[in-house]
Amino acid sequence: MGYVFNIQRFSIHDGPGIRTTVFLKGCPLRCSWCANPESIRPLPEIITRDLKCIGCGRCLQACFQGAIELQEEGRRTMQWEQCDQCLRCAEACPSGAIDVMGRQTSVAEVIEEVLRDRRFYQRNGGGLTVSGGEPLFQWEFARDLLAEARRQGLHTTLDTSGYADWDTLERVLEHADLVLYDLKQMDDERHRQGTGVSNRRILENLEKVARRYHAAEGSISSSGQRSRIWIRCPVIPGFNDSEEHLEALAQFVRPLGEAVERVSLLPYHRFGELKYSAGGKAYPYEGQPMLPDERIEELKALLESYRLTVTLKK
Amino acid sequence: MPSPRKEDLQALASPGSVSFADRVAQSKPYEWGFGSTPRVAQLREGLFSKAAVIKDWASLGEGITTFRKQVKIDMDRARLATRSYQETEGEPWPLRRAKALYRICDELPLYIKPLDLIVGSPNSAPDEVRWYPETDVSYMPHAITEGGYRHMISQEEKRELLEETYPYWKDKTLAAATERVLPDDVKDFCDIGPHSTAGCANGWRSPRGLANPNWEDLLSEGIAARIRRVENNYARHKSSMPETMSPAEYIKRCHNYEAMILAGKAMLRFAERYAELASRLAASEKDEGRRRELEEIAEVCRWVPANPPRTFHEALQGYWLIEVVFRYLEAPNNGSGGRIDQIWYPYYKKDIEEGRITRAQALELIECWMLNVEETGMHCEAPDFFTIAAGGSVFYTANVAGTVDGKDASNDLTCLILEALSDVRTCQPPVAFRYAAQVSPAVMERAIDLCRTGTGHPAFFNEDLFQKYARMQGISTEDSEKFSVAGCLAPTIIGKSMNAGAYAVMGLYNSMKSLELALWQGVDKVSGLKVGADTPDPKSFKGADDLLRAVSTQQEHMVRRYAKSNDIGFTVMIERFPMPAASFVLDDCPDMGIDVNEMSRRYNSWPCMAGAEFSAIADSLAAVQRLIYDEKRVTWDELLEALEANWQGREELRQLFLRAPKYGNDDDYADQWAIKAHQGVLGAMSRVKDAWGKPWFYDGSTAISPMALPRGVHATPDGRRAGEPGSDSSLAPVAGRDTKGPTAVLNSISKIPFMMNDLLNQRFMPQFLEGEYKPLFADYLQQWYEMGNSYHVQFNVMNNAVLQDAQLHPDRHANLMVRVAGYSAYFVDLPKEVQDHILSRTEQAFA
Repeated sequence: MGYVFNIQRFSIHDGPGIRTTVFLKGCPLRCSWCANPESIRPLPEIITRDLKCIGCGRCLQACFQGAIELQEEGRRTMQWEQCDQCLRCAEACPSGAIDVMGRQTSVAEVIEEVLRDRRFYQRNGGGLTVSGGEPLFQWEFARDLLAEARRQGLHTTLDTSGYADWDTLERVLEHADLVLYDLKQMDDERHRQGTGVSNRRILENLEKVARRYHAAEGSISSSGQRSRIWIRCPVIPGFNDSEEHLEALAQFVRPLGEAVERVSLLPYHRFGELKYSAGGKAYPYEGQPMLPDERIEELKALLESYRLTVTLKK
Repeated sequence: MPSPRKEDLQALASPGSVSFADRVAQSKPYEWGFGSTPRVAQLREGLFSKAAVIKDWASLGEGITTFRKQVKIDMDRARLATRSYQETEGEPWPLRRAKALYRICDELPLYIKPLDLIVGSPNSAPDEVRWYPETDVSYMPHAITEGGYRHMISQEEKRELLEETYPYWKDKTLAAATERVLPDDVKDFCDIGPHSTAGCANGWRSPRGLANPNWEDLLSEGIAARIRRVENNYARHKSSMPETMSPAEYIKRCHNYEAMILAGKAMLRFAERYAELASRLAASEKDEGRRRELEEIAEVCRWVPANPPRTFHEALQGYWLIEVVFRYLEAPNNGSGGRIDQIWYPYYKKDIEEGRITRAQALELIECWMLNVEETGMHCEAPDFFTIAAGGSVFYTANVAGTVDGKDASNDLTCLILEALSDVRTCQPPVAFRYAAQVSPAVMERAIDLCRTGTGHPAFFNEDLFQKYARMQGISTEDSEKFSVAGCLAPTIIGKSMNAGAYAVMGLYNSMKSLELALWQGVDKVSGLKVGADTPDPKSFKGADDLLRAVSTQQEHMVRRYAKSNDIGFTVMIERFPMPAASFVLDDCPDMGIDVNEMSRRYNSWPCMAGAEFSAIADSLAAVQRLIYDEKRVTWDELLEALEANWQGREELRQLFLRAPKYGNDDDYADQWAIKAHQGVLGAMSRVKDAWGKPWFYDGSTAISPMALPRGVHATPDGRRAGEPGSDSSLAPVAGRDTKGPTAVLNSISKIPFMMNDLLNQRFMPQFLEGEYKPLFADYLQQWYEMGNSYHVQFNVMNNAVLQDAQLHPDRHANLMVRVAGYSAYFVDLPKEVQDHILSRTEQAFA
């Protein structure tokens, strides 16, 4: 069993073809720009959707902590510091104005939903992507999902930050045809500032993933276990969008050879902003403008000058 | 003789190889505007959009339906028709109708605009819209004095209309003649719009037909030869009266032959006058280049449609002149359905191979033709019709691609037509792309490029289902291979049928009303009147199946009433409204001396009614089963009380029903009710037969009725409040209720067996049709096709941000087009409610 907070069908950005992306809960990183703040906590948590509130007051009655107050105009407000995430209010809410992010589910249940779109994967090499949070946070569940999907004949992709023990990563990797591997910042100190963790393990692991790919070359029996790599770099204004940084990234990636099939630039966006207040969190990037398209194109050209295949996720 | 161009021959040899993808994503395809040449762009710039405009539904009763402000009512056609009818009183109807048509073709003021290459308009000026006093005048006095047409007419013409046209016609129109004899028990139902009980069946006010000639034969025969054929047939008919034929039948056929011959001559006269006009203009033209063009137009119109075309230009021009006469001048028809990439191809191919024309020149001609169709525009008619077709125009559905004899029929011209529409981006002519496994992927890719323009073009049709559909109607195998789509999505038999679609005598019943009647034992909760059948009290139901049974019973009960009005309407129409020109261009009428209206009723068409709305019914059934029977959380008393109160003060209960399983999310529980709703409602329809013995059923050409008609439906158990819309089409989930993306929508749909020509609209973000994602869209489409049960799908490719901006700044988005329901319309012409509905349809976004 594992905790899943979203199953996104018809994903077309998380690997080749039409895919279903399963988002697992829990993440050891604390990226300040995170677009999925609801993914960080390992256990289910509540989120609020104020527009859906009908002012019935059921949540008030359900809350033992006094964390919910009803305003005069019939809307409830949350006192997040008092909330202990018991989830009772969400169970009582009739309209979905308080909802639970993350539920415990089984491999069989998830795969049943993934297989519903099998016909859409067939012709374009699509399949399952396991993402997060950091999917390796629930590595056994991630491994079992990928293994079962592969057994069903689907293309499998792991979307990871790479921040895990190599042993763990390798055991999951065995079942992934492709790994989407995040490189957020090449400088260790800056990486710590932006994500709360060091990048040392991440970079070492990436080299190992590449080595593992090349080692499997020529070995027919293990060809199914070779994981190609798509590097993903979220481009965050003022954090990692300088030429120097991207050059450092290219210089690191280039020697990994053809294990790296492409590098994707993911321009920073603010779609996650609303999710912060909905989950009672402060948005650290408040007011940060998005990068202009021309700048992204410049950075793309820079990487391409290192003979890397670069794509943009708009 | 010029030599053929190498690249044109290459394009001819490998259809789809010439991409126009680089232009589709741009807001202006060329630096000079919309059109492959500055000429086309200039014509496009000066074009008057003549789609119906409704600002909001609430004010419809006050006659706010209108046209864009520069558009005027064309009194010329109306005046000529009136004078002719005045002179022919007492003569047989076929002759009166043919004489009126001849008079119009002989005297209607014609125009050729300074840059036109293709000529022919049923309106006497570029900024005018024709109307048909012979069908209905009842709405006009109000419309031109206080209503939406008041700015569209001069003082002098207003006087003429009120003092001459209206008084002459008011008791003599087709509508007046029909309504005089309607039985009392159907009268109340022959009304349309949000204020009506449940729908309408009043097509006699505007008798549309969807004739679809066998163009290959018609063009290669030529109008002159066809007139001779009809003359010969008439002579044979008169040579001796068959023993088996009644004198009345014999006489009727004599009149029909005579009328058809005159209608054919009207076409020749119409073309001749364009030739004369072009020659006159050429004589006074200073510009050498333009003079040659005008001389060529004159030469072309002197040759076609009288004779078989010799060139691509002649084929296009001859085709269009015939269309204008029989489709628009004779009656307020729309439709088409012509497979233009087949009809014109031999002429195109020959011209390219012999170097007579370049591909670019052919493209310009096609674009010019498209602008003519757009300029034809909607006609003036009773404003209430527009309720269900807001933003609608002539519904000139041109068919492309598909197969012939089981082989890929797509060709270079297919792609050129797609490219032309992507260049001009007009609402007309909408292109119906006939999807079949055989169609080459390269041509498919060009169709997807056209989708990317965001105009809603083309519509995709599963061609395999044409034959399945034909078999359901008992059409012979031979004829079933000649199916084509006319109007929004009405299947017609090429060369045969006239009134296949829902619009001949319009049947439009809101199936959601049956649900309301079933909940209240036959009482219409909006009017408070008992109009339905006696069905059991819901409290006695043992499950949602019992509710569905009651819905079906109510459906049948109501349809029987509409069916009666349809039978009467058609009988009057067969007598008083023959269509000799439409008869003349079809296959059997010229040989048998039978008018198309009668021929169609007897043989080549089937009674259908639009207005199907299954999704809200399915969601209601699922919610009732789940909450009342499975979980026993709610009782019927509680539900009925809440519905009675329109959910007022019962918001918690409404949320329960709203959050019950919903169709469109690949949820088997909800989807099984969608299957049952289709089967139950359509089954009830087919138990009713028309006067000619054919069973009724639903037609997917609902236009916006699933949005308009539920305005008159009380609250329903799916959590819907009174007056809220349902889905936009018979297959689509209720707007905003599909939350699992486009694959889940298709999975839900795939469970419903093919029972009718269902309509499906989908929304996608534009990026999904570009670059590396394009093949994925192609796969999605292929899966839609392989499901083998969805007749039609069409895509809105527009971001919400753009649509929202258009609501705020309509002036900046005068040309922004969207898919409404089976047709494309300019967004700014739509009532606010429909705009909001389009915005609320789930945008299938990037993950």
